[in-house]
Amino acid sequence: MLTRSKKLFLYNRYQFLSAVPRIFNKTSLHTYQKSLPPANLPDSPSFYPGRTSILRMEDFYHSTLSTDLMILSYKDPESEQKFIEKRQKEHLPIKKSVLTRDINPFAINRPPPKPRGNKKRLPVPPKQSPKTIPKLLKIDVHCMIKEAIHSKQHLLSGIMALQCITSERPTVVYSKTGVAQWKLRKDMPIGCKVSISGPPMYTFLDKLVEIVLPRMKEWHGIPITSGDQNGNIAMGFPASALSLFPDIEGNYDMFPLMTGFDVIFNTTAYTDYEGRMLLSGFQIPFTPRKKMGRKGRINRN
Amino acid sequence: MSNHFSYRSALSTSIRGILARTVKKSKPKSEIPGSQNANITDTRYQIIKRILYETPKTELPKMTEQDLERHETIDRAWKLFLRNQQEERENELAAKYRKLNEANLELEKLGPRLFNSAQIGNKIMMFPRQMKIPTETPPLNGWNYDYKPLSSDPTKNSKPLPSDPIKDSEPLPSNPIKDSEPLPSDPNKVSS
Repeated sequence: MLTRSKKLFLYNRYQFLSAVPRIFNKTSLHTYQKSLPPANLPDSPSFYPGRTSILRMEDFYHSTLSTDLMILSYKDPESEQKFIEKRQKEHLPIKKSVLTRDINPFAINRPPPKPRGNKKRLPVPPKQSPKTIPKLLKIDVHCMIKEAIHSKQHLLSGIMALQCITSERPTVVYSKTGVAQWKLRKDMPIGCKVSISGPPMYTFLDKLVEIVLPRMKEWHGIPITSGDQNGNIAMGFPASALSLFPDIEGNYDMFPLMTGFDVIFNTTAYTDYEGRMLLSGFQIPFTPRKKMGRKGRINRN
Repeated sequence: MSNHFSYRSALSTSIRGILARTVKKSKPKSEIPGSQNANITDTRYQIIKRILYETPKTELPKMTEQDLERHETIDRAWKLFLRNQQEERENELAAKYRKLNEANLELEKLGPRLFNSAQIGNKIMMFPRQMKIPTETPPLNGWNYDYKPLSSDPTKNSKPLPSDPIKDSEPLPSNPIKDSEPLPSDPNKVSS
């Protein structure tokens, strides 16, 4: 009988080259593997056979967008300094006694104190240079499948759909807590996610922008308030959007369950403003509305 | 729109053949794809499970020493090419940035009014929605001679809302070679 560890070893050893996508990142070694084979050989789990077409979006970024973004995101030294100081600012702690931490020898290696008012400290950006131009790092596509609560096989449809869209094998997401109302228990497989970067990312972006987004019904753009304050923009899609992808449209009948999914654009920008600027360059539309169907005010920064 | 993704599925032809044959046999009429109350004993799930986890593993190419050398040489050459390309881009951007910085410092010396108006500040800067990302081939619909410029209101959606995509969309783009008018005859040719 194949044990789980043995199966893992087999997955590491063999890679699927043509129609079936690569299984990603199973980097744990079996006991009789001394080390992973080098990444440029087909044996290795991280071997990428090479891009199969020109990447329109990537070429456009390098030829046009990067220069324009450099100019648009250029800040004069004064405002840049203000922004860095704002990010570096240490908020007052909850307890005043913590302020005497330096004097107290017993408190040397204690963890940093919690800020008052539950304020977050966002990452501090480096000094601006041609290397800090906002760039699209990766895209995370995630799918939560409610039907998997009563029947685990519904996950398969989601996994297959994400694999067809992104050309990468998704991993299963397990629930972190249980909710009795929805009959959800902890550590239950409830969704799937996949993280794509490089050539698969640019092809996915291309499909999205050229084919899916123009054909979506009653969709006016990503709300302009979307973002995690650090340059990463996310958007959600209804189940009808899945059928618009050419990979799924050709095989529509084979998917038992059409699920909605969300897409998270991970950028190197340090503000939402710059992240939106980058994505608008890739022709992703933004709308001043906060939510679909409601009027929203334009958020300045 | 120039759609260079074929409508062929991501699966290989052999697997699609297996799928087509099994689906014809066992799919009931009342089954609607995407329904919430999907049949639990749906055979499609078994097929998907087989495709995802039980496909036969493709044989890895067995490389001889010479093959390995060739592979490594090609790999190194490609990486070198990418590296040179990257360095070229970096140098170009660095030079542009240096000039931009110098220009800004010069402008600061000239006076506060010009300098402040040149800074972006709180303006909303986004790329225009009408910008076209270059494609390999020109569009199927050709040049739009009836184009009207945008209204000045930025909140209005520049592109018209899509009409019902299920009714209006065609499964395949029309063949531009077949459907186009016949080529104009050569004026210099003597008509017989």
